Amino acid sequence: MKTFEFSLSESISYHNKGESQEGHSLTLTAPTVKARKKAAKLKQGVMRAVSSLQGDANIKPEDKKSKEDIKPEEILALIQMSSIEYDEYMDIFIDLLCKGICKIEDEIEMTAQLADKMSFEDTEKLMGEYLINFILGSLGN
Amino acid sequence: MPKALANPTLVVNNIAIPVAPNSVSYKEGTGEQTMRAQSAGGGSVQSVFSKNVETNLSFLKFSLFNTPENIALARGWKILENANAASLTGDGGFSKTFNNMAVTNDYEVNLGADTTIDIELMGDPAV
Repeated sequence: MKTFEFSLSESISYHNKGESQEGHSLTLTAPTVKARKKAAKLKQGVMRAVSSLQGDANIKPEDKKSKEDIKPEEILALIQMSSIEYDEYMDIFIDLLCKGICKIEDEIEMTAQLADKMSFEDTEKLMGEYLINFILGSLGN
Repeated sequence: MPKALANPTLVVNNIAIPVAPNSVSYKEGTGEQTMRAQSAGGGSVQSVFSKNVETNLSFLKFSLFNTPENIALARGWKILENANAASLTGDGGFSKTFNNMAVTNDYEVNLGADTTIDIELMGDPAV
């Protein structure tokens, strides 16, 4: 199964085997059918953002990038500049994290209480990385 | 104006637990301390302090409504023996963490209307 590691800039405390510990990294896996609704909304959001901006801007051929060259901050900027409500989009992503696709220190599944402890900056970066790794991967160029 | 803590957030094993209102209480596990007087003769008395470390255990008590989800949660905590961790947070920066907690009581599940399951956990002194 494809996974990627994400290092948190601010650690989060979590319970593991009866002890309180500090988590510094997250392990993320591709969405499963259990998380289909959230994953589909994220995917649709990216497509809508792309299509809405394509209609507005004059994109030169030299500005076009393949999906392999897109950076996390670029995909986030794309969503922020589109008509998509960024806060709602972020909420969908956080809900997705709590569907068994994210583990702290590769041990404990992310819960809503743990996700609330993540910094805004980390959440944004993680969302960008996740979109690049698992959501854009299934889109066409 | 000071405000009493009456609605804390209880998290057990990373999951927020909805509890019956006003049912949460805890002991930090600072232990019992006693003072006794010892006679030195001639009317002289000295105080003797002792600390009973047997009582240096935290205690956390709360009640859950008897929903299927809560019954499953309680059973899960019991099965984990002393590998549970809990935290209480509230207004004004209130925060207590309880490590290595075990459900010590043989909790009773009443299958009736308006009844609760009383859960008692004991473990390391709270931090």
